[in-house]
Amino acid sequence: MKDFPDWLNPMVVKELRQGLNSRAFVVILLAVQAFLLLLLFASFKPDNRDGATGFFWFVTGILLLAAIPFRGMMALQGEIRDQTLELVQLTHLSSRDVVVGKWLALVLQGFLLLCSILPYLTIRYFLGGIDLVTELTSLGGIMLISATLTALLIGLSAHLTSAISRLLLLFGGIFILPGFLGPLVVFLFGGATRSTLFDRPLFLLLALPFVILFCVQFLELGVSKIAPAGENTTRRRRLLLLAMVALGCACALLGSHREEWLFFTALASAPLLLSFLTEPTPAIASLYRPVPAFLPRPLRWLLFPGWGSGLLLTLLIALLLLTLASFGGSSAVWELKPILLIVSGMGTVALPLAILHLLPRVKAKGILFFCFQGAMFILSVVLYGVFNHRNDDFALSGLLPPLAFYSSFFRTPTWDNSSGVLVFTSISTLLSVVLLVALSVSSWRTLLAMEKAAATLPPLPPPNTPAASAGHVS
Amino acid sequence: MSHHPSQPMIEVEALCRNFGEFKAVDRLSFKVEAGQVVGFIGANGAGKTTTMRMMATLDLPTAGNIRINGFDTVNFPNHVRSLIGWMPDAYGTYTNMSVGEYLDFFARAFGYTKGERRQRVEEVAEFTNLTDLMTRPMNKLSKGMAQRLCLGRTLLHDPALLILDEPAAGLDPKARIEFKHLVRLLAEEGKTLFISSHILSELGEMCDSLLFIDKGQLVHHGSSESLRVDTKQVSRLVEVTVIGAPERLLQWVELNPGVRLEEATRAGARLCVEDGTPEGIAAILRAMVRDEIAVVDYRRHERKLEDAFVEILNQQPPTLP
Repeated sequence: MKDFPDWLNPMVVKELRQGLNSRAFVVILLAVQAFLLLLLFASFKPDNRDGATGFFWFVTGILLLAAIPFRGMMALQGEIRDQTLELVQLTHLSSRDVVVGKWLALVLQGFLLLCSILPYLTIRYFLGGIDLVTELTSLGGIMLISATLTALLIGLSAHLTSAISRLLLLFGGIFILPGFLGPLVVFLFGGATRSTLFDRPLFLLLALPFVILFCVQFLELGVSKIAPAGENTTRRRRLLLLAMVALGCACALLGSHREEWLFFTALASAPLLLSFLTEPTPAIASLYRPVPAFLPRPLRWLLFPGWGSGLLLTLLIALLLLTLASFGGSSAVWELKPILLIVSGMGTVALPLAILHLLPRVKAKGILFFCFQGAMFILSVVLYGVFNHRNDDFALSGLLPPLAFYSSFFRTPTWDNSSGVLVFTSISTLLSVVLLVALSVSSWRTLLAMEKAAATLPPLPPPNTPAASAGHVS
Repeated sequence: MSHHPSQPMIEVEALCRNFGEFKAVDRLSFKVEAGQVVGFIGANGAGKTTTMRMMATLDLPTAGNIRINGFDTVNFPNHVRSLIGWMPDAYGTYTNMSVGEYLDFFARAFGYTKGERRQRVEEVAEFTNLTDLMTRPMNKLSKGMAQRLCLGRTLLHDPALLILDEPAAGLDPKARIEFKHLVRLLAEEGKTLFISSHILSELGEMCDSLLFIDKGQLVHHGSSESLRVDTKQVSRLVEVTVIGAPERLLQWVELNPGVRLEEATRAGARLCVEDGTPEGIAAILRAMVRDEIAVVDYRRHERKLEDAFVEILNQQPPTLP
């Protein structure tokens, strides 16, 4: 039996054992070696080197950016389907150990594949024509994106129980992720901030944790799916989100791209805030223990589960980002496009949420939210992208803020052509927010009742001491 | 985590679990003391697995509560989990993993470190008779072997309470006997066992008490002896076997007023004794021997648990649609 050290997460051990024992892994590893060997022979001829380099990056990209992340898509669902997750959950492994273990095992398998590629990179260097530092940096970047994508897919797919919803994620991912992650990576590690990265170590210190927190947030989303109902996973996710927002704001204040940073912070926070805005308010007293005790009561509310407190948190974060964007930034923020983006962006979130909360029996609120957004996006593509209408031709379309929001990507709204849309969008957004606040009253009632009940609960027993207390079956 | 002996091991109070309009468990209440072996009996769909899953913290009650050794399963799931061992009726297997690797993984997951882990895996493998199968892929095991492996996994952290859902289902007679033996050993260890099964005769042999559940409600809680001995009728029935033809016995019965013939059998008769007390039944045997009836077997007729189960179910009032 191959022995792994004790300090390694048992889930990683299990996954690596299974992975390394599997025929598929050996076949892929051998196929990659054979393919790279062929490329190597081909690149002995100087004429073929460019083509060989192209194939080299193609293979690397397929392995690390497609194969590994998309295995993450089935990581948790596979265990749930095979009825193996419950038995693991009953051990002393926390839900986080399970999710992080799954993620780490996939990243390690990716790293193993990467290591198998490195000798070819070295030989190519000796054949000449490549910049080793650039190539190694690129490989590191690909590995980082692979790890981020894997975290993202593990977290999201845990919530997608049906094959159709996973297909939608795959389909949406193909179109949305390059558009979202691509600019984010270029923004953080290349392009506009490359000089900043090397000139200001403090900025690097802030930007990297931002990406790491983003990864952890999605893993926590997976954790929240498999954790027992009596475990407050919301608290940790909200603290992580607050840390990410704080870092984003710090980068905005310290860096030279304030609006971009604030925009990315809002964008990176959006999926997580959405999970808070759609989560039920469980009537389980232990979730509302006053932890951390040093926080004043209203601040502790922000860490309690339930969409009522999630709404309060969202409004506070939106207020913070808007304040930072309004004061001290460039004067461009007072032009119509950013104002319309902010107002319609808020409405894009608030309107479908208000509709979904009007239907308490609907369970898959998150998925329906995305379906609604997808439909609105397609409609705006048809109206403004294909037929190229002026916004004011459809001033009333402002009543559907997502239309105004998505149309901003196809045209440049100005005070001349879109002021009517702004008026209607503002009205619709305001009404949606007011409706949401009114609907959240029931969630707040549960929260306050449970907070009261939590005060009567006995104190938590001492933490588990696995194995230490166990006797022996003779 | 060690358990508190002063607390009941299981305390279920007005437990309800609804799936939409359907009430899978309906105001179920019972208590199980530590060290007991309890059989949980009910027809398919009676709510056994749903109740057991809630006890194992894998499902949430709609109303009511469950306390395992004083810990509420909803508010203290992690503490409850360290006290219980859950063996489901069906569990998934891992591909590309041997029996030894499977046990090693769970031993790691239960927090055992190197030497201790190896020792614990060996102990459990020996206890469940898996030592020779350690290198075999776990998806190549027979049903009986797989059940033993699942029990082995359940025992790794030495839980105080074992919740076993249909552990003997699908096992051949030999595997069933082996399994019964394991349960007996665990009971001797002082563990609390909560076992659901359809094989009532086996449960009767293994369990200190039996819980009957129907349509999510408790319909009986008592020892298997109390079910076997029916106070109304069956406790007065005695089966007698004699050497040779039973005619002499039948004539004797006709002449004795304290006993009447219930049914003649091939080698004797089933008799109804008027005085159903142990003294009354012993007096009839003494009289037979005195009158030189060649009795070779004389025993009180016990009601089968299956009959008791069906009878209890028939006594239940029909539920309104």
